[in-house]
Amino acid sequence: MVFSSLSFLFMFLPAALLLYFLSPRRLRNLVLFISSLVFYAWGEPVYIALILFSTVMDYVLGILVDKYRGTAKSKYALIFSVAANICLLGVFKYADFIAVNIGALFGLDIPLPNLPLPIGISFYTFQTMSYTIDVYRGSAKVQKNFITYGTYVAMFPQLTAGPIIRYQTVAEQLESRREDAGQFAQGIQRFTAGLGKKVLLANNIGMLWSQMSSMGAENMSVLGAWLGITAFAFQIYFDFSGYSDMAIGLAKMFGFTFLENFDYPYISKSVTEFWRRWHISLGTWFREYVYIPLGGNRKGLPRQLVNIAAVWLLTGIWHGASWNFAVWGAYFMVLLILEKLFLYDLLQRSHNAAGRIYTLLAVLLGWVIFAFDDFSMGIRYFMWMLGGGGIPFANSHALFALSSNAVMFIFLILASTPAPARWAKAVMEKLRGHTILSVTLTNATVAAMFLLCVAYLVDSTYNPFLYFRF
Amino acid sequence: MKPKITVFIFAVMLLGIAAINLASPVRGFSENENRYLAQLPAFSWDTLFAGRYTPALDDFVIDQFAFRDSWVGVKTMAERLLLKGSSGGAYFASDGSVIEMFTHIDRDRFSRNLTHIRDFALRALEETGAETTVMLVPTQSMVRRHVLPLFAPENGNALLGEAAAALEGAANFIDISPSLNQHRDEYIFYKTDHHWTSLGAYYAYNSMRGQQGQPIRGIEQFRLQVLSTRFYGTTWSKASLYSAPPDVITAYITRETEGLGALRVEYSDNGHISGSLYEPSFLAAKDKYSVFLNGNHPIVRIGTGLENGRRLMVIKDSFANSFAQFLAADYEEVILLDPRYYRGQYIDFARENDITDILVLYGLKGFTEDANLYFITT
Repeated sequence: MVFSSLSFLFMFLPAALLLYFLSPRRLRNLVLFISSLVFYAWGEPVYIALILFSTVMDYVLGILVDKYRGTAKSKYALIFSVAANICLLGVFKYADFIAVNIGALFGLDIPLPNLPLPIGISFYTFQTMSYTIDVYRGSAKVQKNFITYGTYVAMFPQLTAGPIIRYQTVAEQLESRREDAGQFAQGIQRFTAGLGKKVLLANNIGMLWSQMSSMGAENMSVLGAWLGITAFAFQIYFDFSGYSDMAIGLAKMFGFTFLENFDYPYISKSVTEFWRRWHISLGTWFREYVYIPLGGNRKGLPRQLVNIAAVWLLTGIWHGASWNFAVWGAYFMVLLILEKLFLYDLLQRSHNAAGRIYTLLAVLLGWVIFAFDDFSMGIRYFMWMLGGGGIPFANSHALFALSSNAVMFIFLILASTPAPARWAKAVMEKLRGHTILSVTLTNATVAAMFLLCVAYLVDSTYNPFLYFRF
Repeated sequence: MKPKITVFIFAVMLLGIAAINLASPVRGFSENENRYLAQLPAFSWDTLFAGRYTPALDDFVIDQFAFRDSWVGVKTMAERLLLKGSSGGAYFASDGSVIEMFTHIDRDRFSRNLTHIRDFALRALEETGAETTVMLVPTQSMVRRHVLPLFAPENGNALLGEAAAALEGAANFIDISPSLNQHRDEYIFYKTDHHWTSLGAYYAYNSMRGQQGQPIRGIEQFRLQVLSTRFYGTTWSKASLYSAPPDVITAYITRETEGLGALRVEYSDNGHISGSLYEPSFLAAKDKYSVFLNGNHPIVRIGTGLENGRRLMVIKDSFANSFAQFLAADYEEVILLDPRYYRGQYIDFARENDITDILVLYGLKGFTEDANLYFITT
């Protein structure tokens, strides 16, 4: 199930909220756990078994890690947990990829398992690993209540597409949290903002990308290629950050506070900064559980560069079982190492605009690698952007797309910056003392946005979800 | 106090809309969208575990959403406010009409279809002596370019020249675009549908007569009768621009044929026989263009009561349904064959029915997409 669907908004969510708030406090985790399983089963009725298996396994291993603390058994339990989770990912996400490549390498004809990817597996395996690791390190207390632990793993706001919640972030909230109207109202505003990003911005501009990416050379132009990849950049940002906003907002309704996952990445002045602002929970996870354990920056520059390389190859392949994602990770690895060596300091000393333009170009090129599973298609598209392939600079397809989406692009650019939030704050500041006016304005805006999203969803011929399959 | 207001409004929206949806009746067919809506799927564990139940339920919720058409109308208004030039494969034209886009042209199919017609025309001439005339109706987006949004990527204009060249020496290609272009500001295409109006067909008809060396038939030879003033066509459904004004459908009734009082229309597939080219029952439904010749059928025989020995076979799509009004003024019998439905031997059919003339009449867009023209050469 996805948040941006009418069945979620008008069937699942009202039912889940009613059940939750009508239940006595001690049953609320159970209600949330069970409704989360229903949410998951909506999309993947069979793989519900897999997520339950993973939950039970790490629940038991967490207890073993804690029980044998200080002995080798504790370490074995931890290693088993990490290995089992990686195996789950390996089998259900990478089996075909591994089979194809081993087959190609040795000239074998290996039959493909063709397993459909379980929704959210990349997210919940990372969460359950973080739990056993945190318990082993002593940075989190073991959870002996299965329902509480199950609620952590399956909690539907973050279940399908993150953010990746580390156990230590929500450990206390799982056991004692106070839902209140103030937090609930913030949750509503945040959820609606995210829904708007996804439905009004991402879906809308996504149509331009799907048009340009499927266009043949005869209708393509340089301008069209740039418009297309720009559209993709906006689509993936508003799609994913919108989903994170919705998750954070929903969690607030149930009394949870998640950490932020995006922080206006497209205003970054370097790629290093971009990755501090993009999918923050994934970056944090790799830093905490890969980069720092490998020694981070504490073992000299050469070792640090190796550690960066390891993190970025893993980050790339985490995004999908295909070589273009590995190349995409390697591409950022190179950029980040260059920035670490000299580029970052150079950018710090130059004009802000230089850093921003360089970062946007670097990220756009990254999206070309990311967007095409088929490498030759990606290279063809990149050549088009550079004016290769004998295509014109502009044609009516591109000019029509530009003029038809001009207003949309203005909204997208503005929404990628902190400016709208600043303006809203300034307006509220001006209205201080006019309580009725400010309350009316805020609520009318939120309600209008919500209803407009519903209108778009009722006519949803185009409602893909990009990060659903990671 | 303040946050409680927000929570209250949200609760009212969520629960209110959910309740209205539960209470509102399930619709079977959407007139606006011209399609059957998804119905409540029957639950079974099998369909659930096969992953088929929940997608069907999602479709049901979307299709049966209360006040669906109003929501969709709101969305279209928002798209217009964003100054989008098109929606659902249709342009928002500057005169308030919606015009179907013609930007993705299947050139392979187009040239293959031209080859089929060329082969057919040569064989028909040799085996039956009947000459073939070909008329392809340019799209509204080609004729009325001047009302399209800026930079609209229309490039169908070269196709008519290619068709004339490809049919050279085999069939008479009638280029009606100069005539339609000349009248482009008149009501020659529907504002909500991709078809031409009877007036558009009338200009094309006289253009054809002119190119065949026959005198123009003045408008006074036809009795004009308004059939409907509330026609919303398929382009309107695609763009869901529900604010657009409806179209008017007018019949052009040939006075001479009407005077004879011997018109006989026979539909081969269901044996239905009618004394009129119009089927008024469609005027109460969404698909009002089907008032012309009862929609599409494999074979329609029109006996006009004229006795001039001329018998026309028309290989056609729906554009010919309103064109037949004018053909009824010239032929003793007009037989319309629709290759989408008729799978017989076309040349044998022409011989057995003593056909003297053949007309191939298609909308240009449909002609570049039709996969059935192969059958006419069999």
